[in-house]
Amino acid sequence: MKNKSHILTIIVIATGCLFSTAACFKQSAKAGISTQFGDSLISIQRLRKLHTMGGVEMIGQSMFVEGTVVANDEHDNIYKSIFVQDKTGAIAIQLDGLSLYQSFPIGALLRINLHNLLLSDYRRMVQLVGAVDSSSGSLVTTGIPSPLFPKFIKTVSENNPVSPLIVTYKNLGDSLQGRLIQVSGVEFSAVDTGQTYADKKNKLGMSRSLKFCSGGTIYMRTSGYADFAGVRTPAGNGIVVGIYSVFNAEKQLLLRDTNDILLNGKRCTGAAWLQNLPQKVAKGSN
Amino acid sequence: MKTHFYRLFFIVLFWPIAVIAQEQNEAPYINNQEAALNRTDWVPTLLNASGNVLLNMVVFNGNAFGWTLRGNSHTMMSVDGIIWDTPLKKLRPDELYTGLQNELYSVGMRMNGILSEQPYSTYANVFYKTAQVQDSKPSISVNTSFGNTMHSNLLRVHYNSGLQSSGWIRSLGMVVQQAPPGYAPLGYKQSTGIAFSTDKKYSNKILLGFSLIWNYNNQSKAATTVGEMYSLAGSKIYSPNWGWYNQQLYYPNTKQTNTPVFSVRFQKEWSAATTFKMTNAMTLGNQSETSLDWTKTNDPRPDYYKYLPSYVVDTNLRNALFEWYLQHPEQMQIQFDKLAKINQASNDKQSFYIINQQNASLFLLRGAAVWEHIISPTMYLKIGTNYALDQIHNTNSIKDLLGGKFYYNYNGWMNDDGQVASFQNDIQHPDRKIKQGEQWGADYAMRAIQMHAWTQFNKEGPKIETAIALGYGLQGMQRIGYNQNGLFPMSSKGISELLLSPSFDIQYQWLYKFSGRLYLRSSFFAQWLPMSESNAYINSELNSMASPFSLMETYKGLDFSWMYRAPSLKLEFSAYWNKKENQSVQKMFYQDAFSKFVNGMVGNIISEAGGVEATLETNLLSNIQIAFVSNLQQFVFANNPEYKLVNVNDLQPMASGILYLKNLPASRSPGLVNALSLNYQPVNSFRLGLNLLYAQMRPVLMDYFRRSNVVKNSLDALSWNQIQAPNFLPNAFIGNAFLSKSLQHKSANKIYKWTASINVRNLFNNNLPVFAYEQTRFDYLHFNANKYAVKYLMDQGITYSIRLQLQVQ
Repeated sequence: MKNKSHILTIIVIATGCLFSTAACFKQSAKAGISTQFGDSLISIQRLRKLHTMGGVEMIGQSMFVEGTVVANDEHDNIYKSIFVQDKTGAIAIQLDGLSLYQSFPIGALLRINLHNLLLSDYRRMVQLVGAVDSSSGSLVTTGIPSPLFPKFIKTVSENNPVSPLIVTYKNLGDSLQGRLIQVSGVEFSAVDTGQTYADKKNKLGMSRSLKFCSGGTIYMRTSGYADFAGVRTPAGNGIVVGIYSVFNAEKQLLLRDTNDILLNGKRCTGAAWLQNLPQKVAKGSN
Repeated sequence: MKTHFYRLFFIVLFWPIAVIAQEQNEAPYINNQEAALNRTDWVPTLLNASGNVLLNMVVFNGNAFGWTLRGNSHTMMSVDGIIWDTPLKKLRPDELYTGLQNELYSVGMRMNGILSEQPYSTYANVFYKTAQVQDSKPSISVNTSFGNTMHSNLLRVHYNSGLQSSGWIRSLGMVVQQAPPGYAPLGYKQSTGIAFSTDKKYSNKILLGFSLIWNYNNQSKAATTVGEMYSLAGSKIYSPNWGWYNQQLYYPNTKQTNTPVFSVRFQKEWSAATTFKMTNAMTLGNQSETSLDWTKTNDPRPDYYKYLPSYVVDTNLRNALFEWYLQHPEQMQIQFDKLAKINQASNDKQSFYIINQQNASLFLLRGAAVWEHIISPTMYLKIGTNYALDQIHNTNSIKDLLGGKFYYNYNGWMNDDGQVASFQNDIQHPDRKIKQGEQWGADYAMRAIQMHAWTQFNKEGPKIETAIALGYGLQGMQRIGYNQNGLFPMSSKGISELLLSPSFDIQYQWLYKFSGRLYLRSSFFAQWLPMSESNAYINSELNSMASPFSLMETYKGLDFSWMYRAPSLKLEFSAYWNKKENQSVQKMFYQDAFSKFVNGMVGNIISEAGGVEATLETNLLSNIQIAFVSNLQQFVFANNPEYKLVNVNDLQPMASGILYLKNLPASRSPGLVNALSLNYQPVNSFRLGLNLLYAQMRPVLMDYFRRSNVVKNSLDALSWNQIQAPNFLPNAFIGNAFLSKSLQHKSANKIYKWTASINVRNLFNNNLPVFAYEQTRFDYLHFNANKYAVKYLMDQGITYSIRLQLQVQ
């Protein structure tokens, strides 16, 4: 009897050790994720949820995100920013530097240390910034200074594949902010067809409306400094890849470069198309 | 001060005339040579003190403060009567003799504006020759030194054959200097030089000599930076001018000289009274400079203003950046590995960062001839002529692509006007991909021809000595372009017209001898100077267009000196004034308000220098020599000159007006320097010396363009005064010391002389800004003077050099 109780005790103790050891393994597995940037990896979606529109939040905890660069300033349509995305979402990161594409090329997987960075938004476009200043009465944001890039950003790997998310007009919403998206069945409005993407001579940005055959409009915003600003918009219908952005209520698409535009199909037909066409096109000249 | 000098001028001008008139009334037996020499009232001529104490102090100790005298920017060297100064801007004449100065024989120094026994020269004030033909004994000496600066590690071997029975005398010197990267805090230096000269006297009347001086030098360049970086680094020897590349120290900014100088000397004594001397010299060689260059990418300099904590407005970010630099000091050096990674990662491996090498291929021909005739024991005449033919071919080549495979042949220093042709360096071969070692950029040569004839007449009298010198010259200069650039296709290729400019100079000097000890000297000079490449052309690298402000510079001045000479006491007190007119300056810079590169031109600049100099030499306790010099000077702008800004692309005017420079310092030389030199020499073989210098009123070199009428009209009075007012460095003190001991012993027929010495500079390890200047880039948008802060070069601190020499005679 006495022997049986001893054996039972040993079994209970051993079982207890087994479970606690498993917990240790689990703990150490978690510890294996920790990096010099802290030990809390969060998703970009969760990061975005920390922000309230119109407000500014400083990230006081030691956290980081990982995301792949989907857009940068290589063709000067994006200025002092990069866009990174993971499976859950994307975000713009303001960086106070030039030629960012050389340090953060498209396809680079970055680990970003969020501690002491701030979340803000510009006309409802959420962004991660280095500092904010409201002393002038309006919110002025500053990117991370370039000497501090190594402190906040680490390149994990490069040349990772980047594929755009295929969406329709109905899918366009704030959850897509900063994401690389692909829209199809779009064409420039008749007024904006054959026009330059922006005013290159005077360095002024312009918006060109992209119409969906199925209805709806998104605005392609191009900077006057973009190296393709002086190129004329194509006349056809087809696919466009770009970064989804917003300007207050306006839905926008930021082009990385003209290779992301494939508008060589016939322009729209069908009921929805009738809303888009000016009169001369309706006479079947296309 | 100006009024006093004008008064002095009239006294000086009219007093000698009165005295000369009085002398002429006396018995004219001064033309009888024997009688003249036997006159009991004939005061001996002025014997110069041991060197020129003040000039010695400036040349050998004044570098720490940028100390120059009488408004001059630098010391000009004459070797065998040849001055390697040129109106062309890409020659660095001082480097022709780097490390080889000890192979030259010093024959004198003189203050600018003072005539001396040296051949008349408009510019030179330090005189050397390559050979000594005299009854010198054969000798060999070996000299080695080492220390903690990049100039101190040296091995020198010198051989002198002595005057041989055949009449030949030969000397050969070889110098090697080695301070490899990492040895000295401020850079590296590798230099090898030889100096060979041979002379022969024929029948005691003809001297023929040849010299070859060949200097190969490769060294890093010093770099200035803003005070904030020195504070961040916590070290006065911080330099932003290097980094690590593939785990090796790498200096992007360097300079090289490879210039053999060959000269032929001829001297003939026609009679005891007449001598003719001629020297012709030639150099064929290269001087180059390397620098880090970049295009369409981030500025790689660690001290770029946007990378500094002061640029960051947000306090938290600024503190974070400050802490980051303290924890990662390597970030304050150039990140070459990162630059190479960017080059390698680019599409088709185009380099964005390169090490560019600017090459100046030199062909310089010089000649100087002097005919001297002693008319009488008290009068002599010199007639001389100089010529110079210079051609400098300027090119660029890529020294290092830093990991990339090619670099586009584009001009990155122009404004992007959207025109494809504008940024082409060579529109006949556009979009060329340049490989490492290949030539790119501007390809042009500058040519200058100069002829100058002069005469000098000296007359000694019992009480008065006079001298007058006149010179006349003619200079031609032109540009030859070998490629056609996109900005200036019509004026970049081909031969430009010859720009002719005459020169004229006159100098008059008289000396009144009160007694064999007390002398009064005055001199007056006036020069009309020819143009130089810097002020004749707007941008000779891109085109041959003449500057609108190219006028003949004039330079005039007068000097008044009182001298007392006794065996154990020498005093000298001088007052001087000089004025330069029609000077011009040109600079290319980025103008923030226009967001464009501009050529800034300033013309009709007038500057005035005035000052007093005092020197005292005496002995104390028979074996201590004391010299004290004091120099109070003011070198200021005398007017508000005109300026113009033009677009670098098409030279279209963008702004013009006047610059408020009047009464502001025109140089960085200190306004007041007091220096004391003590030499203790109890026996011939031991010497201990100490030089102490204290400098005050040290101006920071100013940027002219921010002091314009446009800036003045944009600001309130207080803000304008803050920008317009000059900045001054703190007063500075430096002590330099040396100690030498020699031993001598005889063996067989030879004398062996051992000398050991140690030189210590900046003995008290003072924090000393050697050089400071306002940047040309200025915040023309918000007029924040601290945005592009003053840049400094700090003294290294205490440095030493230990030298050992063995001479065998």
